[in-house]
Amino acid sequence: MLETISRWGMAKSSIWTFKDQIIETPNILFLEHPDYETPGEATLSYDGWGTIDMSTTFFDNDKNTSDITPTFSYPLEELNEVLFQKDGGSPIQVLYGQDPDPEAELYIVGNAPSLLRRSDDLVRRILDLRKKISPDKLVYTPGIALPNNMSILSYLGVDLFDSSYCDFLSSRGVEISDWRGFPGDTSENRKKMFEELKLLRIGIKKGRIRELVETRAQTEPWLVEVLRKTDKNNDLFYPYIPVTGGEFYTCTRESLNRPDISRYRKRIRDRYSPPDRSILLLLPCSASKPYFYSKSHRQFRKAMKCCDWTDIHEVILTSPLGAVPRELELFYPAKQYDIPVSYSWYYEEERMILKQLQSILEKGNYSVIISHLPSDMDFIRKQFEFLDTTEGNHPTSKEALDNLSQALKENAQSSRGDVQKFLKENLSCFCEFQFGPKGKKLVEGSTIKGRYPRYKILDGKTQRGMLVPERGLISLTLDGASILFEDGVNIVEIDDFRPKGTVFAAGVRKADNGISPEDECIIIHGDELRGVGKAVMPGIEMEFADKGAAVEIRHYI
Amino acid sequence: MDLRKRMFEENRYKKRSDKRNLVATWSDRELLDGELEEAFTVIFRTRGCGWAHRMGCTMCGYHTDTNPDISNEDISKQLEEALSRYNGETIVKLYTSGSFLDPKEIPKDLAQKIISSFDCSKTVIESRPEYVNQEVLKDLKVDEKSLEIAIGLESADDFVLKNCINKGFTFKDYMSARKIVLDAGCGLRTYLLLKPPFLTEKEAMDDLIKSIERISHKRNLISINPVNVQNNSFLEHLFRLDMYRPPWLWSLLEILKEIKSTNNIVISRAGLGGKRGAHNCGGCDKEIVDLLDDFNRTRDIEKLSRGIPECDCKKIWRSDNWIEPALHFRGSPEILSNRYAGYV
Repeated sequence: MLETISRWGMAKSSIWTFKDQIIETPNILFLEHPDYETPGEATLSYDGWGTIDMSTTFFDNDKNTSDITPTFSYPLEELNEVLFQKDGGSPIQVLYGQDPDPEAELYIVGNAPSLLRRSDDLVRRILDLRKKISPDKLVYTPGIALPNNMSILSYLGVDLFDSSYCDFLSSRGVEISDWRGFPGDTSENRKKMFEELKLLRIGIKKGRIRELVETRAQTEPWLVEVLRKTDKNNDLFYPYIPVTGGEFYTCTRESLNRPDISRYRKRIRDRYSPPDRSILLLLPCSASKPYFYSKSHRQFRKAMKCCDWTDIHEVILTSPLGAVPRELELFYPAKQYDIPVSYSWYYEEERMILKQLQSILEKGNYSVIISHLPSDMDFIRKQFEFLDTTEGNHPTSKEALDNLSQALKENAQSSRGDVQKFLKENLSCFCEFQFGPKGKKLVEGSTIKGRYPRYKILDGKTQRGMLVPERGLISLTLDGASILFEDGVNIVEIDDFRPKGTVFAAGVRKADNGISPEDECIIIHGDELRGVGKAVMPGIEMEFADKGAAVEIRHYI
Repeated sequence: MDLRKRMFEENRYKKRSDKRNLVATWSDRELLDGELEEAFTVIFRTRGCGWAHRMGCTMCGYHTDTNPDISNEDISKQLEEALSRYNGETIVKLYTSGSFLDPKEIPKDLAQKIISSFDCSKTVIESRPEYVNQEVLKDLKVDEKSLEIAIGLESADDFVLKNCINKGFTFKDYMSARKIVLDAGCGLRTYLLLKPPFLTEKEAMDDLIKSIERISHKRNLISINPVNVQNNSFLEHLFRLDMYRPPWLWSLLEILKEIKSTNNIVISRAGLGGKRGAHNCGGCDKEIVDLLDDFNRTRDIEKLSRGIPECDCKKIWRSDNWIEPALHFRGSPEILSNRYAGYV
């Protein structure tokens, strides 16, 4: 039985209970080998002749009718009787192309070495398997793990590795590293595998595995191919990535297609409608986040004070997120990313920014569009006819800021408009972005109180929810939950009990498959609201898993 | 099986066009009753192995040396050519790229004529077990003692025969053919294959040792044939995909060490030491092949084990044998170095 502790995309760290043994994954099976020692910290060793040494045997098949040894690798047509279960252990299936048996807990990818340097085959084989099996299952690829590809394999959804490739290179006098191997001292090779495993585990726990993956992928062209081809399947990854998280770096070209970043861009296109304002102001991003508190944005705000700023819609153009509307700048990952700034943009970035901007322009109803952007973003002015207020100057220079004030004075009312309307529109956009179009109902007929960014959505004296800047999400109260319950947003249906602290996966009957970890969940039983809390695992997994916390309750009835 | 079928479809009629002459003849020396005797080998070009016409074995590429349109006159001409090259060697080996006893390849009367044409004290012919029966042997009209029938069994394990070699007969079929041959008083020679595809090195070694135990008999000469990757075979296809490595010479030496008696053992020379045959690292290959040649001439196992050289690649071979079962891979571990980006 498997309990997932943390997960980021397909990469997960979990606890596997196998016949009274507790096994932490991801993990390396160290082959019992006459020449190489298993590192002291390692928890698993693996007898090359077919048994994992965990007190009892594991792979041996005593019903073998043939004379040959039990580890016989089955040719194409003899694939079916490879599922075996002994002494109540977890069923294990070796896959050579047949369909996975849903009863198995561990799937061994047969012929994995043929996937080396074959990025298409590797991505297809592993992701197809991941699509077919439920998320609480383990995948093991024998014979292909090295320090420089382990994290990528894990990112694809592989949980168990072994030392055989490392030993193979050791026997040929190759000293391995997380970059590549050279003839040298092989005595530390197995230890290096374990060191990388430790990094991998930390990466998953901290939600920063993607950065490790990008770093390691750069060591070999085919690994970059694997990463790029995996990113084409980002849809599969969205539900498994938390909607909030810590800071991270986007240093490589592959960072542009990180699944959390591409999810943000997709939501801008699919579930975002800009507030009803007549002026669109395009601004550059800032190094410190959220942008609102940065020095440059404080200066922009000062320049905007001269007119009716409630009629201005600010959109920050940046990479890799494309376009970040001011009201969504707290939403993960707008507040968390950090990118190298070199004042030059490559083609994919330019195209992506233009695409995101285009989507906002199509949905907005602006009478004036002001571009207050640095000269390195000229590619935008080449595409669109905007009112340019920087004219080649730095956006924070006196000339540019004066120009901005001047342009705003000419195009906006001088007296301030309705601030409450302004705030409600902003929060409405935020709710739509977080919960989908139905989320807008949360703001209807409410008043917004509080100091930015801690806005509270109030209905008379009762509070529906509050924007929590640390999470970058709206946290619901029971009153807010009952509004979303009517529309069936982020519903988790549980067995008939009164949840107080944590709802465990075993108690979940049905869950919205759109729920990602950290999402707000509305806990119900039948047509009765039971509580509200934040998801610990993806909605898909809540339905499948037998073990582990599903939702942490904040308020309950 | 689809892949194999396709391979054979593609290769069946390749490269054999209008060839109607002998495939090859050569002379060498072979041990007979403790004496080293001259041996003359003839390979006739026939319409080819009946099994290869239906499907064929995975490691076999001999269908390249056949011609489906060959006539009896062609074979008679080949006989004349062979006789002109014959210098009265004591042993004569009459091979086809199929079964000498298959009447579709060589009609009975022609077969009888071929055998009686050579004036020798020992004749060796090859056949699949299904063509071996008492009448056929009688029809050859030769002294049984001077006739030796060679059968390619490859492995005594039905699982291996069916799934790795696609041999088309079972161990039982071989045993009944063998009984006929031995009862008739003929000599028997059995080919065993070292390392059929889809087996790990260690599995192949175990399989061979067990096969030898199961078939050994004082009148049965066992020829260990380490795989040589033949053109146009299914195995060649696997070989090119990094899915197969021919056996190590260390494995061959290990087998000779393990088996109880080496009195009736001979090692096939084909491809030894080359990239497509049994080989080691390249450094120690020639020395070991020379030792094996010497063993074939003397059957002196003591001398062989004394002469085995030391080489670093033995450690690699041993380590690979440890790793291989864990790979769950039908190919060979060599793929790991062929697809490695760093230095090996």
